[in-house]
Order: sequence, then C-alpha cells, then structure tokens
Amino acid sequence: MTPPTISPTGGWLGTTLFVLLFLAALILFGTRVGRLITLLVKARPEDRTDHLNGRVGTFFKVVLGQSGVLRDPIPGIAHFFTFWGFIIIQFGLLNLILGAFNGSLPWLGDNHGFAIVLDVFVVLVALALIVFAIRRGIVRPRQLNSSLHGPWDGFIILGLILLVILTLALVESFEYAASAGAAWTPIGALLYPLLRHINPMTNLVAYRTFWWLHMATVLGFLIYLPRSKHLHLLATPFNVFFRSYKPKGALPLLENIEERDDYGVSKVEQFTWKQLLDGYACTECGRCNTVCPALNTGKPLYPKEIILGAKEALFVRSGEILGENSIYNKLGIAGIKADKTPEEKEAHHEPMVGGIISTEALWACTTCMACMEICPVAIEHVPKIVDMRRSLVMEESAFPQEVTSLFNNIERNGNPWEISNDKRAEWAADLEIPLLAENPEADVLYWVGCMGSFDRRNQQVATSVAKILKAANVNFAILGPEESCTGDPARRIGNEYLWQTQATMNIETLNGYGFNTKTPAVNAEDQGSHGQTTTATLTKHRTIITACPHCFNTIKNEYPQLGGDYEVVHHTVYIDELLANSKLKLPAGFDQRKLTYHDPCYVGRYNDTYEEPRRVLTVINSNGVTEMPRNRNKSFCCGGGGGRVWMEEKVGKRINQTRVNEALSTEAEVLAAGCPFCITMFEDGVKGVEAEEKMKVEDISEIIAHALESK
Amino acid sequence: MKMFVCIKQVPDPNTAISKLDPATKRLVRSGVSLVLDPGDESTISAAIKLRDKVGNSELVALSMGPASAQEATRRALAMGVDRAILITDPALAGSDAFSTAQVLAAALKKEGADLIFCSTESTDGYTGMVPGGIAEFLGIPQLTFAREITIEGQKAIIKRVIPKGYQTIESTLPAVITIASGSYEAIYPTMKGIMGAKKKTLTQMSLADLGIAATQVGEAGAHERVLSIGKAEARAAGQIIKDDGNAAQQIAEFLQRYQLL
Repeated sequence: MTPPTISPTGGWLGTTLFVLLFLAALILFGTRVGRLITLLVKARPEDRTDHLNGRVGTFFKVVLGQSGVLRDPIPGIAHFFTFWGFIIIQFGLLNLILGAFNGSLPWLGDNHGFAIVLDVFVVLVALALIVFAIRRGIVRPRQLNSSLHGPWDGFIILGLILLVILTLALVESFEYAASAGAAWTPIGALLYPLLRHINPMTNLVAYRTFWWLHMATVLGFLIYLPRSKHLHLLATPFNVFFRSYKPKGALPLLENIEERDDYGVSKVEQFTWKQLLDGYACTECGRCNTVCPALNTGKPLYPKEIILGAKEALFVRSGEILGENSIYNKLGIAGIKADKTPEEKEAHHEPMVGGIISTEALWACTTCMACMEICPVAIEHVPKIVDMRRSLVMEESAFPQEVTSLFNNIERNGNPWEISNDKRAEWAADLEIPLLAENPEADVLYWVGCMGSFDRRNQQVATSVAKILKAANVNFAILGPEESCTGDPARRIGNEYLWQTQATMNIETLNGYGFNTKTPAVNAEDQGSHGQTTTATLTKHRTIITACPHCFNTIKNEYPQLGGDYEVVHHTVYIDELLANSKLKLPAGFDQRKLTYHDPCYVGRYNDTYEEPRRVLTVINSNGVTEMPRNRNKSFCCGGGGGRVWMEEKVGKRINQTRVNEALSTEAEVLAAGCPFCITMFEDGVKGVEAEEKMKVEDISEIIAHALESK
Repeated sequence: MKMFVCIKQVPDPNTAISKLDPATKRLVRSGVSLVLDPGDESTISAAIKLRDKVGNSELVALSMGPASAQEATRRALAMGVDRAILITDPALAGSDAFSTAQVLAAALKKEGADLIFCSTESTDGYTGMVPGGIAEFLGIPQLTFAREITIEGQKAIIKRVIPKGYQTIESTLPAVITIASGSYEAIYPTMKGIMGAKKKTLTQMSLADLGIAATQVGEAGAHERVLSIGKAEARAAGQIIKDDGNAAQQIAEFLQRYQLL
C-alpha cells in the first residue's frame, strides 16, 4: 500500500470536512434507500427464493454479462461499457478517498495494470456517453419518452456521468503533473506534455480542486440516484435475481378465492414487493413500448407507463403506506412525491386503477408477452395488468360490455357461445372418433377446445388433426360433452373465479380418466386380497394433445396450480414427434406454395416452441418457411389473446390487419398458424385488406391433412 | 322505500332445445339446464340502479317455483338484491298465469310493497299476463315497457317505449312497473356479490303462509288450458341486398319500413 505523493485535502482540516460531507451524503442516501426498502417490506409477500442456483446463474448472465441490453446492440454495447466502467471507477474512487487519509487500495492502489484498465474504461464510458447523447438528443427514439417523467432526468444523468469521468481524468492529470510523474496514470502521462510547463503550485491547486469536484459529483450522484430513473442501478440486480422461475405462461393463482377480502389490484398497496421492485428496476428504456401490438396500432396502452404508473402511485402513497409512526414520517420525508394540494391528489392519483393507470390501457392488452420477452431487466408486465383486470372484473364488475355474455356462456354452457355443450362432439359425428368414455384406455386424448368443437372454420382444423392421428394409427379419443372451456379467456380477462371453477371441473374429468401424472388412477384389480393394498398405478404414457395454444398453455402451466398435472403437447409438436418416430409419413415437399409461419404467442413466447412447427412445415413444403420480419420470440400478436378476441377493437388500426400486411410483404400464398384464434383473426384480417385472392390462412394440420389425402 | 322484483327460473333459452311434453302439453323443465330468466337479469339491474338512486330502500327478489329455483334467487342476490323470497309448494305445480299472479300478489300484500318490478314477459311461457295480474289483484296501477324510471316523492315517472318513440307517463305509488327488454344492461355479479349472496336471507313461503287454499292454484285452480301444441312455422328466408350501387338506400328503406330509422 503506497500512500499518495500529495495529500488531496491538504491536511486534517480538509479531511475532516470531507468526512463530514461524506457522512452527510451517506445519511441522505441511506434514508432515501431505506424508505424505498421499507415500502417493499410493507408490500404483500411473494416467495421468490426457489431455484437459487439458477438465480445466481441468471444474475451473472444478465447483470454482469449484460445479456438483456446487449440484444439491442448499439445502446447495448454502450451500456455494457458504462456498467463495467461504473464498477471499475468505484475502485478508483475508493483509492482517491483513501488518499485523503494518506492511504491507498491494497494491490490496486499503485498497480499500473489497474491504472490502465481504469483509464481505458474512462475513455470507453466517454465514448458510450457520446452514443447515449446522440441517441437521446438527436435520434430521439419515441420509446424514450415518458408521460410521467420529463426528458431532463436522462440528460441530468448523462451530465453527472460526464462530470464524474471528466473530473477523474483531470484529477489524474494534475496529480501526475503536480507529482512530476510519481502518481502514474495513462491519462496523466498522456497530458503531461501540456501541463509540465504550468507552475507546480497551480497544478497542485488544480489537482485538489478537481479532487473536491469529483467527490462532490459522486456524492451528488449518490443522493440524486434513488429519485431518478437511475434507481435501476440499485434495483435491477435484485429484480433480475428475483425474476420468476414459474412457467412463463402461468398467471399467479389467486389463493383462497372464496375467503378473500380483495380480488386483484386496484390500489398500489395490493401489489407484492416484487411487483413494486419492477418499478424501481425500470430503466425507462421503452423497449416494451416498441413491441406492444396494442400501442403500435394506436391503442392507449404504453406498457412502460403501466410500470411507471405503479411506481408513481407508490411514491404518491408512500406517506400513508409508511405509516404515521415511521421514522420517515416523523422526519417529514415519508411522502416521496406527495401531492401538494387535495385537488392534485384527487385529479391524478386516486385510485391507481382508473386514475394514473387508465382502464382503457388495461383492456387493450392482448397478453402477448412481447413486453416481458424484450425487457432487459425482467419486469413482469402481464401479470400486473391481469391483476388490475381482476379487480375491475371481480370487484367492480366493470369490463367491456361484450364480455358479459362470454362469462355467462362459459358459466352456463361451458363454451363461449349460446350453444349447448351437449353438441360438443357434433363436428366429429361422421369421423368415427371414439369418446374417451367409450375408449377409456386411449393413449392420447385430443382436447379439441371450444373453437375446434363449435367454430365452423376451426372444425376443419379439428377434422384435420383427427385425420392425421388416424393416419399415424394413434389410439386416441375425445371428451365430447365432458370437455368444457378451460377457462383461459376468463382468466386473462380477470375472472379468476370462473377460471378456477372451469379448471377444477376439467381436472376432475381428466383425473377420472387417469391422465394426471402425479396422482395416477389406482388400478382396482391390483388391490391385494389379503388386506394388503398395493397402489399399482397406470404406468402407460398418456398424452393430451390440443390444437389450441390457449387450452394448451392453461392445462400445461396453470392447471398444476390446482393439482392438475398432465402431459400436454401442442399438436404441431406432436406431429413433429410422429414424423421423427416415422409413425407418420408425409410426401415431402408436397406443398409447393410459398408459405410463411406466424408464431402464436401462447406457443412461442409463452412456451418457447419455435422450431417444431417450422420443422414440420419444412418437410411438407418444398420452399420451407419464408420468415416475416417479426418472427419467433419477436412475433407480432394476431390481436386475439388476453380475451381480446371477445372484445371489440374500436381504437386505432386493426392488429390482425397489421400482421396480415406483414405476412403479405413476404409474398407468401399461405399464412400458416397453429392457433384457432390466430386463424380467425387473420381470416378476418385478410378479408379486411381484401387479399383473399393473394393469401390463404391455414392451420399446419390442414396443410398436412391435405397432403395425406392427396398422397 | 320497499321495492320488489319478481323473477323466474326458466330452461336456459340459449341452449335448451325446448321440449314440449305431448301429454301435459307443457314445457319440459327437468333434465335441462335451468337459469334465472335472462330478461329478469336486466329487470333486476334496472331495479338495483333505481334502489341505489332513490337511497334508503330495500330491494327484495320474489319468485314462485320449485325448491330448485333457489339457484335463480341466489343469482339475483349475487347481482345485488338485498334479500329473496321463494314461494314453493307442491300444490303450485301446474299453475297458470292467473294463479301465479294471485300468489305473488298475496306475498306482496303480506310484505307491503311500494314498487314492484317485473319483466314484460318470461322467456319460457311468454304469456306476459303476470305483471298485469299482480297490479289487478293489488288494485294498483301498472306502468308498462319502461326504459327509464324516475321516482319523485310518491310518484313514479317512466319513459314508456312505443313503436315510434316513447311516452312519458306517471302514476302514484305503489305501482307495478314492467321493464322493456333490452333497456338495461345486465349486471355481472362481483365476487363480493357472489360470496355475500350466501349470507343474505332467502325466505321460503308456502301456500299456508299466504293463506291460499291449495284448490285455488296449481293444476286444480288453473283457468287456462293448453288445447294443442304445434310446430312454429319455419321463418322465411331473409332478404339479401346485393350492392349494385344503391344498397345503402335499400337498407335505409328496409329499416324505415320497420320504424327502426
């Protein structure tokens, strides 16, 4: 440990002054952060301590490796250098502080290697700042705008970072000059030719002045940070660490639904700590806004503003939440962003839903999860939106009027329409498909879903699926009238109670036939006759397949919340398996039309299934798949998810037509999909843009069934 | 103010394949899904709105039917009705509109009602005679086809739907008001409503409670007899307008013909 050549403070008086300033800044910073942490502690509980090993791995990848932001290369690389620059500069800072006490960092203090690394990062951060300034000041991508925060926050931060590295470079330069090269740094050595002729006394004064300026900037930054968007610097590592390890497609279960006092979220106090931490972690980068299908077709939903709205509501309510007896209230600093007048309070923030977060925004969401997929800091937008819908539906009965009949029909008829569920198997009347009741030992249950069962267009899909299963000699059956709506649209719209009712009913049916993988049916014949009971279980592999990604997702990822564990696969994945096992033989390259494939949200982003449908299409189609600009995890929603298919689309451009136009831009003759809602939305979209002559919308199963028939 | 809404459980009109029993010539009510009459849902919603607007009032759902009709009254309670009364008695089976009105009127008299809401007609029998019967038995005015209701002191004022628009009419209270179908959006129950409905009072009454003799009602006391039943004529095919330049005008004329424009 080598003490610095020259004391930066000039003696004990300066050092004492520095210590006082440092402690004051630390206390201010501490209370500000303490207040934010207390707000989280007082929030609703949520367990995020599962999968600890995975969490550590993710932390390394996303936080230290910056994998989230790097997906957008230009700002990503700039951010990478700023992030690592920040960490390295902390060591430099510590070294400078220790200088005031005639000390320095062990190992690093007089290590030339460290000095080089530090200065390289000073330069890299400076370059990154230029990139950021051009982006924010000249390019000005729309997603950086925020209706809640002025444009200044970003510039203040850039200015502060600039000051930090500028003063650091100047400290290094003048220290080098004042010590005549004894305090070696690359920057100091580089600028020495310019400074060597200056009077040594001036160099000394300049060195000390910039040392103080550097400290003042750093401490100012520290105090400013918890109030700015740069809070993400403190919160993001935690937010990434505590990200959800539950299946992406599962909304959280509303527990004890019959004994609760509230249902969902209308006030910010009803969010869990992790949901609030999302707000702290938001960097306001607006990537979520760039991909939102609602926003990009002119609907009033800005995913970023949902997150920031919740944060704003939290800050406005912080005084009340922290409570009169908290130290913060006693110090008079509990209201982080308290409104000054009752009018302000009334006008802006009470209640959160319907106030700072508009109900129109909440109803515009298609739950496509593009926002969550692109978010570099693991923010969970969709469950929050659904939580707020839950309150609107179950507490206020306030939802788009078209949805009332959907709820009533699911409740009474077990399907979204005014059709008796007894007719569920009518589509299959001429196809000789056994009901599971008639063939309870079937290997495969084909879960047809409401669309496949009742919607005329999608009955053709169901028929195709059945033909494929027959061609592959699969021993399968359907449930017929025993099948009931999975409840997915109800759950996404916010009617958790209806989803739980439907799910419970379906789970009972499926368990009754022994499909549960965790509690298989007990084979009665194996019960010992001598008082011993052997619980022999069905070991037969039993699979549920479905052509509806919404049924698929909720059965696979959400039914386990109520004890329904099943092996369920999307039909495209099952077909891919049949091909791989040579159980299904296709005339390869039979279909010669130019084809593009749309990844349904609930197959793709929800369940990370991108390649199986493409493999199947590549076998059957001589041209393979011509991709749309937005494909795989960037796929653009058809507009039907999240219950939107049951609501009117009154504002802006039509989402389905927007996607159909994208498909048309590939000059494909076929738009292939694997979701009944996508098919319905796109057929409407194709009609809407009058492209019936140019492009057909087909389910993958239809393309295959057609090839099988023509073989 | 004491308000009542008369409701009925019916075979789900949206799904039930209406079956008529050739022997009794009546609608088959067993083995089909039974629901609160969807028409009553909007009547209940109208009543709830008015109760909340008037303030300091109680709204009671009143129904006559078998014990299974409790389900329908639960739905009304979940929607926001304060309590419910179900008149149920084996002797009531086979009651016609006349007896039904008589029984409901007896219960309303016993309870004392200021305002009684009914749907214009039920979605199963479609006689449309019960509301008038209640008014007659109670000797109070009946205001029909209301699409808007206001209470001013001891007066009810309604906008009454007529083919070419509406009339504004008023009457003294107590009164029976029937709601024009489609005028009120049905309330979808909240969770608090659904859970709260389990705790609300549901009173069962028998004929004895109302002091009505079994011979006056049911099959025995029916004044109506269904003579025969037959298939409804198949609806004629609709008119298809192809656009040859003046489709808009043709559509407008069509709508005008039915006074919809």
